[in-house]
Amino acid sequence: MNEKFDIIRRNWNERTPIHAASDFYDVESFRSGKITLTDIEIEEIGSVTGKTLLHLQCHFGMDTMSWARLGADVTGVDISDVAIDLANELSDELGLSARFIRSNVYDLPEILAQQFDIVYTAIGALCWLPDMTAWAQIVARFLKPGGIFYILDGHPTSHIFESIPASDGSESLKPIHPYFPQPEGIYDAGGGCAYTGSDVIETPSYEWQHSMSEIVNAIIDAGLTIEKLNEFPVSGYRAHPQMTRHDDGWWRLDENHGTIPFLYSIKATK
Amino acid sequence: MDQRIEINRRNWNERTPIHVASDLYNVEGFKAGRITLSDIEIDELGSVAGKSLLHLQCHFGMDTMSWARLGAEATGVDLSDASIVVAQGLNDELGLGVRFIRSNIYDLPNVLQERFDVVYTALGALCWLPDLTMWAQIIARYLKRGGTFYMLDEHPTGRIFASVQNADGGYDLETENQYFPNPDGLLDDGERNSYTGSDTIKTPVYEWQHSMSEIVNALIGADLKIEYVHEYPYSFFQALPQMRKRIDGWWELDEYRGNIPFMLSIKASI
Repeated sequence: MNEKFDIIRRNWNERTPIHAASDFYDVESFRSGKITLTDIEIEEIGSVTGKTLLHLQCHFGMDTMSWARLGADVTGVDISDVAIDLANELSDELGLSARFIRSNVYDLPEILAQQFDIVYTAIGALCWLPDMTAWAQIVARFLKPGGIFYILDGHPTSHIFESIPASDGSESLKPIHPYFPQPEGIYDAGGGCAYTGSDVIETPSYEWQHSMSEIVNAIIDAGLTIEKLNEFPVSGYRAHPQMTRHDDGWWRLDENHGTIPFLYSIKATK
Repeated sequence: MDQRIEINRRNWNERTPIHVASDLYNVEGFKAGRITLSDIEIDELGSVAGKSLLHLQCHFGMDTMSWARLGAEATGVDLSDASIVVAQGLNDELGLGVRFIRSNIYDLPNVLQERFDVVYTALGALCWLPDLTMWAQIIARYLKRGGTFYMLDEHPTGRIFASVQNADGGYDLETENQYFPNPDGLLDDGERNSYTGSDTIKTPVYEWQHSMSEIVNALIGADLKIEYVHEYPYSFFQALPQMRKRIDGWWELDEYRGNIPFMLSIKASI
């Protein structure tokens, strides 16, 4: 398993400068004060003023530092050395008080001992983790009693679909991929495009599918109480060629809108 | 009263004799002592010996009476007059000591006051209910402190697919129904086959789609604590024409097998 994490670490090291230079991440706007968080997250988490917040799988930290701009005392953790270096640079440059730690989520208790008011995870995170049971125990480990866990991520149902071109040129959504968890993971040999554009990522990677029940049960089994599960018919990126970006920034299927939940959020308390 | 529920009452009155005569329900097997419950329900709910059990939306009661055969003190409730008459007839004939009540579940507090160790609902129930917030409050109303709610029903993701006949005489799986709740319901004008075979049901019926989050949040909102959610890649009925019945009785797809959750179970306590 350590070898798989090392492969993922190297993959994210390669991705980081590509992402940082992309329109998708738009680092310049962040430098000039933009809050990179979505409306969904800001509304559902509520005020973070004066609260301690641990952001797991924070990439190069713009979301983490956005919570700092909203008043939280933040710590971000990521597996990628390059991403954490960039997060530290941005934090220093902008004078945002944020602590960044390079660590695999599962190894974090070896180097971080405190507990937080909020543990937070954002879009595109759980697919890089093999084990939900151990992950949820880490979440619980870092929450103060009464603390809040919040996640907004890609909906497991949305992961089953591929768009298949039909003979008339239209795109048809087919359930090509397994919905249910596959503990061994899916190996990506590399050579595909980054989700930010046409740049090729050469390093291989692993991904894991996690079903809704696997995620929910892991959280419950770690002793947390689920307060809210929400589902959304919108995506943060162009998951299918027939999606269009709306004024609110979310991508939607125009035909067949509402057939697929693309995002879910969970709020749970310890 | 919601006129749509009255329409559904008439639909289920028409369905009942057709279902009673069908191979799917196999009433003769039940009369000879068969337990009609699935292994999933029996395993997940556990021993019911000596427990009081309220079965909501019990149709003509074979599952309710099966719980009685397994030792529960069972009460079954259904909207359909014809179903409750058949249920009482079977109960009298077989001497199973079950109580049956004809009622819309939303109106049940007008006719039933006590509380139960177990509230149970199964296999094709939630799609006939317009309002899950009130449904969950009814469940909470009827549970004793420390009691268990258990449900096994269609998975909302399974319901987004439809089969369209192709030029080869086979079926293509299309992604076309709404995943998200439709409070107005969908009217089926009638003149469709029942799920038990080729008999035509003439009366119209309303159905409602309920998302995973709507179901979970309704239960949480009624102060139930979710213990687990389970998801299954097969169905209790031939939800799509290209499904094949397995030796163990569940229906599954050959193409796309494992990619779609067709059933979900939830256990919750209060």
